[in-house]
Amino acid sequence: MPSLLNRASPRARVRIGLTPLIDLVFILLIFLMLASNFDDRRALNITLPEPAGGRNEAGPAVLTVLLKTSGAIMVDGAATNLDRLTYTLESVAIDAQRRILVRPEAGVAVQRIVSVLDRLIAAGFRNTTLARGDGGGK
Amino acid sequence: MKLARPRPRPEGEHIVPLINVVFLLLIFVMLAGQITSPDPLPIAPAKAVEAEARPNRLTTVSLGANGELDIDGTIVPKSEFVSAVREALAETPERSLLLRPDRASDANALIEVMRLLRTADVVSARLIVVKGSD
Repeated sequence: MPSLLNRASPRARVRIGLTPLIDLVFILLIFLMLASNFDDRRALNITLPEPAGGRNEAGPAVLTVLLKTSGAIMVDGAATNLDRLTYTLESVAIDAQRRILVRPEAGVAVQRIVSVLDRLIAAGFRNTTLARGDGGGK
Repeated sequence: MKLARPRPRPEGEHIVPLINVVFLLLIFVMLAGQITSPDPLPIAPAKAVEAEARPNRLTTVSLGANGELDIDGTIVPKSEFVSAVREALAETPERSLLLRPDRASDANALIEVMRLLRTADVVSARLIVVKGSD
């Protein structure tokens, strides 16, 4: 085996092959690309609902935003939609500290309450609570 | 004008730019990505614009599209949920956790989970969303 003997000679060992290094780096790269999560995950601050027997949820100072299963949004009984929600709320609730109760009806998806919370936060309303809507019983 | 003829490159040098690029890619992926263990529940978080940076390393409760509950990667039946949350929080000093509902899950199921969290003495929670408009 002349070639093996040549490779084992001290002269041939001077040069370290780059190929195994590149192999390793490629494998690392592929592993990290597959195992990584590039989602831009963020968090929305929410207030947990009061436990039963706590603060009364439907006080006079509370503004109720009802999310209907049909897609309509009712702000204190007046119908609106997602795009006009900020405008409607600003015309009803002058005070940004006013407590807002978001009540989804049965069958409303989480994305819709998140969209509503998103717009409430964008409009500066920070005092928002979620509550079970009518007909939401299991 | 006579240009100097480029010196013949030593063998193996042409591979160095390739390695540089691959190293840069490697470093980018290491910094930009986040290695996560695969979740038992496939969760597509809701989209929101006004969201803050996600806090790391908190107990995470996931709510699947069909109402399944999951605490830090372990599926928990609803009947044992409150005790499982207490157990998970007993190991950490925080009284807060992250809620990760699927965007298609039922909003009232999420509110029910929040109510159960209150029962389990959780003080505050944050909703995990992805950046984007709905």
